[in-house]
Amino acid sequence: MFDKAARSTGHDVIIVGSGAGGSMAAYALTRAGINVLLLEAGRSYDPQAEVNMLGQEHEAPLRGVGTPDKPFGYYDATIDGGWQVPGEPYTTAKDEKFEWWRSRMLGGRTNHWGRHVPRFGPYDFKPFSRDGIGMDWPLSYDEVAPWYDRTEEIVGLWGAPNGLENHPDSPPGIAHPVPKPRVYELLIKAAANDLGVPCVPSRYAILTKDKPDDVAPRNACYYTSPCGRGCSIGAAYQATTSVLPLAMATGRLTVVTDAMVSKVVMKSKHKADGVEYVDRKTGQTYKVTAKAVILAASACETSRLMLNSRNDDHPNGLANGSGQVGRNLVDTVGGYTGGIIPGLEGRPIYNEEGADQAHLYIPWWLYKEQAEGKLNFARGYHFEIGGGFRLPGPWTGGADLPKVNGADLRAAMKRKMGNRVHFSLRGEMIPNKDCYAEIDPNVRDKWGIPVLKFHWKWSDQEINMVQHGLDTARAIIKRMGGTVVNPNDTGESNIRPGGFIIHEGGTARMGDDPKTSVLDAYNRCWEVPNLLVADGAMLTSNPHKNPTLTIMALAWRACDKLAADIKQGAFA
Amino acid sequence: MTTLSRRTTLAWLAAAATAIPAVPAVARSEGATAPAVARSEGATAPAGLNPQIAWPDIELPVNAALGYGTDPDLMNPIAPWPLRLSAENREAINILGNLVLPPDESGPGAGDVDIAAFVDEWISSPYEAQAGDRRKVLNGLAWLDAQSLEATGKPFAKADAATHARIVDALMLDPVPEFLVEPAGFFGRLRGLIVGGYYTLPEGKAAIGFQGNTPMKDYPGPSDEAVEHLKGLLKHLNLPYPA
Ligand SMILES: Cc1cc2nc3c(=O)[nH]c(=O)nc-3n(C[C@H](O)[C@H](O)[C@H](O)COP(=O)(O)OP(=O)(O)OC[C@H]3O[C@@H](n4cnc5c(N)ncnc54)[C@H](O)[C@@H]3O)c2cc1C
Repeated sequence: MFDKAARSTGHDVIIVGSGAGGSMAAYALTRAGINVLLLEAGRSYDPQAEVNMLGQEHEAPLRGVGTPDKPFGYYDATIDGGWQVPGEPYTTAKDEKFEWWRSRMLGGRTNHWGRHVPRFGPYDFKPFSRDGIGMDWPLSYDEVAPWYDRTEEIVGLWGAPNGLENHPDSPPGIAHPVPKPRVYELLIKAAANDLGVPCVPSRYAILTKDKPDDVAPRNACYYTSPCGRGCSIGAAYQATTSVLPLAMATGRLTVVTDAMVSKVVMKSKHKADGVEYVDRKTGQTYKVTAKAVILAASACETSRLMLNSRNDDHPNGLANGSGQVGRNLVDTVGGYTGGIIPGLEGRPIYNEEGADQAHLYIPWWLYKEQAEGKLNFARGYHFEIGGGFRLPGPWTGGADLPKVNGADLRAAMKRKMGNRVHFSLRGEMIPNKDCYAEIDPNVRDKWGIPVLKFHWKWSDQEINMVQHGLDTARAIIKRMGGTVVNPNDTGESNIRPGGFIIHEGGTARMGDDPKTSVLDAYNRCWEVPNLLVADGAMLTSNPHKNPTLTIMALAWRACDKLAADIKQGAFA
Repeated sequence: MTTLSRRTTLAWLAAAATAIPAVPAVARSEGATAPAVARSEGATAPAGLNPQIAWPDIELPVNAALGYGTDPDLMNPIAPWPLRLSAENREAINILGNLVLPPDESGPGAGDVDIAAFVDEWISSPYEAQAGDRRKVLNGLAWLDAQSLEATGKPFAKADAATHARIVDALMLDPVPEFLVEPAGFFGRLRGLIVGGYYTLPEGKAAIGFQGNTPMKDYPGPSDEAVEHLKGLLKHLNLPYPA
């Protein structure tokens, strides 16, 4: 797909980054008749040829367990990345911790994400109005809802009409049926409901019915391959089996891979001209121009580009008059507890793989209590639940490896195979002044581009939330007759490091005031209207509801507007 | 992290591959990390084991550059690193494999499916995470040979079944005498590798009765039998079957 001509002009819009936001932007613009140049730092990637859908553990080195080269396991789709990208470091402030997961491939992290796609609800767009903390979005749920509908139709998902407060369902006809719940999910549901906690069908961007299409046909899930490998049959959504081929088919998309953008180049104070990029294979630098530029290099990388594009007109970084670029950095709050359930031991074995993801989950439910001020944290969380018949692996030990040999050991291993349940807490983090990214004045990557330095500190809001989650999950485990695996953990010790849940956002937030936000409600930089942001950086707040569906929906919405403006002669 | 020079370790490796290292009769090194094994103070040594044979306590360097890299060919997986174990080491591991998981009507023994091939790949791994296991297994194998030589005049792999059983029984003691703390830690970890390696093989999955790895058009959910069991469990817990 590499094309020399692409280095010259002739494109209406340049998009930086081909992940969730960038690929959706490319799709939206090209189908609206706009010519697009998509620059992607990673290599070209073809899931049909490269995903080992049915590769077995024993066929992979070290039974496929994670290593520094492939942190989420040998078969995981991530290329040249993970918590570190070779030659592209980042730094963190002394004694602070932030982990930044990146991949370097066409389609970005959509190739290996978890595909959990809740919609943000009406409350989530107006958090400040509800509890006086943070900032309201310049958008309401009702304004975004049609874009959710549209995005879900192309992305594809399973889901059910749960009818819960602040958890909008898809309109009829969009969501595919949710796979049947497994035994451990039904048990968790029974115990949770008994304690007044909901447990309902989940929403994942995974097809359970075929999605025919001339260009990008996708098949229903066949219920055995882990989604993190990528999905060559297209059941689990990723840009490389869906919106990117669809955009290519319009004839209006040019993709250049191995193109590491280093900065935005300006035509005048309020007008972007294009970008500069380094060809990662040759080290050579190119400049390309267009009527508009969309940054979608992932939340942190986009703020890095804006800060690195500082010039005399924008001394603190491009479009950063508000000082908010790199600020308001949020991740999703992460916590974990698990249980060993004797009642699940020795149960009849059946195929419990199902789809790789949870068929049921626990959504946030204590809105009333929060409104009444009864909780010591302001925002919600959900639990992604897990369990099932899991085979022992090379790290098996401790309580999972009874101290017997021979027939007794075989019997014990079989009995224990399905006895675990897992509760992964995913909560809303409130932006705080201690969490931000800035340019490290002393460190550059191998292309000579200054790198990011992260600052991170959880507030009591998040720590109290995790404590509440631990208490809740422990009560559910107890109600199932189980024992908790980490009974001594507290909210403070259990909370995962910043970045760990890989939902970074907020570093160029949208708002309705140029003094306190970077983008307007159509993702345009207040100070540079032909420069847009279409990735997680845009998030005004980061509800516990995994952000990617919202990133894609708002990217599409912004591009629909941009296409209309360009067609009416804007930025000519 | 290794403290030995590359020359030292290479020399040791060569020795390990060909002969039993001469193990000095000194007490267990204090610097070694203690495995999670309960000690019994002042217990007498199990018959046939010499408490004077100390833990060899030798480390090998980590060299992540020998790894498969950040963009390996996922369709054709290979572990590119050189393997560390000798044929006799692997024989010893397969003997232990069949003592931990002997053959029965559910499947072959762990030694029968050459579990040593997996253990070799694992402990030869160039990554930091496996370095501790490498240390345990290489030292453990040397210790086994030293004990076996002393008792029978033969290395462990060539000793008789009674000797194998006697040593394994001693390593399964809980709590263990002080001089067996390191060897029992090694054996505990080796058992984990044997079990994990075995049950991730097609033979092991069949033996444990695992059902999966099967593409299907619709996911049927729990079997009738599984539902019945769940109903019984819910009743026992005084919970209704969820609607
Ligand atoms: C294991 C895992 C599980 C996840 N699970 C979920 C989930 O269940 N639900 C959910 O909503 N989210 C999930 N996420 C998060 C989700 O992947 C991200 O929110 C989403 O991909 C963000 O989209 P993006 O467009 O901002 O960035 P990305 O998808 O990361 O794409 C950015 C792209 O830009 C490229 N790029 C970076 N810098 C440059 C540059 N300088 N020049 C050119 N190109 C550049 C990158 O190579 C990359 O391809 C998960 C992530 C991971 C890793």
